[in-house]
Amino acid sequence: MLLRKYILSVILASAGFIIALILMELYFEFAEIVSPSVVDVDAHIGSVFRPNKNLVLFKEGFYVGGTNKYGYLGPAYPPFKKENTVRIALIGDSYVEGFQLFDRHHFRTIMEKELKKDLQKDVEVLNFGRSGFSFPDMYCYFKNFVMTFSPDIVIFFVHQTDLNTHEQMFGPRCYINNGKLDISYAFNQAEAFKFRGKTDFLRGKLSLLSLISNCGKLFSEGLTWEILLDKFYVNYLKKDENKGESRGNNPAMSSIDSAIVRELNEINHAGSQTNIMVVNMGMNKDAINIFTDLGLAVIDPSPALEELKNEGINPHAWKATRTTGHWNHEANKAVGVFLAGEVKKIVN
Amino acid sequence: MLFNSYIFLIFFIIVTPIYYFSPKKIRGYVLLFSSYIFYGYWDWRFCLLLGFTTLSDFYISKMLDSNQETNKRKKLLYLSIGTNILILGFFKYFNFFIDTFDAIIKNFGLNLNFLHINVILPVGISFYTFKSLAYVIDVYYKRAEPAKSILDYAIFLSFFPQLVAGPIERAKNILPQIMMRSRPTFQQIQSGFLLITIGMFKKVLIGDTCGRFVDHIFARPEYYTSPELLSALVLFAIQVYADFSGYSQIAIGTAKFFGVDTMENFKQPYLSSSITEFWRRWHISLTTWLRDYLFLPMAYWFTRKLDALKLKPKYVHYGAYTLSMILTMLVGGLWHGANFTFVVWGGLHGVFLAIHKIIMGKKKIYDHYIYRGFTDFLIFILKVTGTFILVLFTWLFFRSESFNQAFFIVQNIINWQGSEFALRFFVITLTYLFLMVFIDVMEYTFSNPIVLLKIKSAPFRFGVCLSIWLVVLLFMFQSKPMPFVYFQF
Repeated sequence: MLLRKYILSVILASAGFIIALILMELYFEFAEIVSPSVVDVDAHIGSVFRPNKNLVLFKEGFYVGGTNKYGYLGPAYPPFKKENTVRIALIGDSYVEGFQLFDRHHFRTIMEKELKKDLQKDVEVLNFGRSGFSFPDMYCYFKNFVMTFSPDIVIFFVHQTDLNTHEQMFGPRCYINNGKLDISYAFNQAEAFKFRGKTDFLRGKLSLLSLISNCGKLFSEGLTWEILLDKFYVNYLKKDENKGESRGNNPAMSSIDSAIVRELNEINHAGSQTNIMVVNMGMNKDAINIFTDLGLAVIDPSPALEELKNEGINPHAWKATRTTGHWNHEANKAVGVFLAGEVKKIVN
Repeated sequence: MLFNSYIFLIFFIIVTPIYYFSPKKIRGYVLLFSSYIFYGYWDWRFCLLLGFTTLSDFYISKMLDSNQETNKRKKLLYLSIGTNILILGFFKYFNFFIDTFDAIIKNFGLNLNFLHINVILPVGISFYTFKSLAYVIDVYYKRAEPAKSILDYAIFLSFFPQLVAGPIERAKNILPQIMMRSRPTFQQIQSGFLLITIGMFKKVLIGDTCGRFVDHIFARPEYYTSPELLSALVLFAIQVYADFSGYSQIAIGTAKFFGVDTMENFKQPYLSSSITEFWRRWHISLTTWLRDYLFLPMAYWFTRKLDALKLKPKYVHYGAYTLSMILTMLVGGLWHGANFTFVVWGGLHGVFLAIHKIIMGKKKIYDHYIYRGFTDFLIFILKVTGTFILVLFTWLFFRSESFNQAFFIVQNIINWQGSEFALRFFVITLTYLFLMVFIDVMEYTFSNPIVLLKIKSAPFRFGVCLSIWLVVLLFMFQSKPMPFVYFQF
């Protein structure tokens, strides 16, 4: 009798737990509190955006938007390009991805508007930004995904920390094979990749799973004690750790980076329809020299940002969160106008 | 410490059993010590100020109690009121007054800006100052017994569940309970736990999540279109309610773990069918404070003055009511923050309340709706919607940083311009609104803020609570705790 009562209690408690969880999942989804994961893994491309997924994100700024049906950000321009259209692809990390502001304030939109206004052609600017992508990751993404959209101009946004590294856990890897640049797709044979493939449908559907995943990331970054003990940990228990290299102190370019630059330069000059440009997001002089020595023009947007600073505007300051970080609205506008000017020089 | 932080939960888990298992003699010290740790966690210097208010008002009230001479008693009362207002005025309003005078005298070529100093606003100063003031006034009018010992009074004033954002409880309700130092009963622990659960859900999963939209949009409204601005305004109305009522429920629930039952602070205000009813349901502890210590004395004073003018009794009645109400609400607005936007917020409510009083005359304003047929219900819904819109309009001034921003937002909402995200913002806002109304309707129907108690099966209820806590804790882990909106006051 007691056992029966005990079992019934467990069943009822489980029912209450599950029903409440389902209701909260629905609430999270409709109120877009935590968006289900928009990132999927493809056996060839590696990390990709799931097509047609809505996303709300709160970082230094705030993003409402989503991926288009082709799996990139911004308006859905199809792989087939119309005639008399200039198509520009932007490839870079979180600065290009721009999950801090709406697409209408992103420098992609500003560029597109500026170019449409000045050129007598239709202009399409496609945002292939992916946060955490390194330069070799960008190159693989460019080869395997971006090129299918036949861009006329491809702009790489490269920072010093993007060099000499691969950041994607599940993604193709560049390597040198007999002195030539090659790409390995061995990641798709890993057990972890196969397991992820099997569970990915859930990650893309459940908000609560995203919540757990966000917590998992913080846990794996070693932030647990700081979150739990707050000031006690920060003031009394935390050791003075060197939090790793800050942006700008990464080692110099590797042979892989140089090989990628050479490869991109060849694309630029081998009668291809595609022009490659590089935007300096904070590379050191040596790295810039390698790019320019190998024949790729490097554009520096810092004058546009300096102008803002002279007007008393910090291009990285975010009022709502009282933090500094990625480019804010003003900076995006300034960079958009600046890049449009640079692109016009090529198109004209 | 913020209620919605892990450090508070750890603190609470440590303090509660210590209090429970301590001998009765020590329990008072446990409570006082933990309250000062709780408060000093923000900044230890705040404790000095709290200690000063405790000492001064305790001894003034002692003297008030022992002294029967009217003149001396009056002087003691003025001393207490003056000291409290001075402290509050300095820490909260010094720069506000300097800036205001500076703006005025600038026209005459003078400058007061050099007097502007960086004053840290002690958290919850408005709350415990009002609590202490009420105590001294009540002792003066012999409405409350003075505390027997400094320890009792210090616990009363610093009682951590209520310290930083109320409810602004009266001494006659709390002091006797504090003096008992009793252990919580099983019922208190049960309802306390359920109240904390509901409060955490409201604060963390409704208030804070709404607040993220609101903060970003109100920080840079020039970048957002009409549907987004309107959505932010509605979301703020939900945020401020979920945040503050959630806080109050956590505070009331936490107090129960120390054997103390406190007053309700919110009674589903957005289901009010008039602005008068709204103020009977919104921030009840402040409203009743303002009524008892500001509105009524002012109303009596105005009645005497207007009577002396030999006006018709009707005019005296409405005149005294209108003047006292508007003045009370202006002060209430200023209490919220040192900015004219708060004054306008209070002023608007004062005007609405006065107009409603004039319209209603001596008709009774019911506090609870009773179903009297479909048409009547439809009229009730219309009235509730109308009241919500009025309140929503005033929230705009409450949330805006300046009048310019408030007018900018109004202008942009009136000159409607669509947005590519209009539908999404609509769905998001509607979801929050639906959830908030659902919880309120449950509480309203059952006339009980602990709606979870209505789940008859204890294991099922336990499962629901477990689920809520799991999601709340996960959310708290992944995002920095957002301070309560009312902490700044």
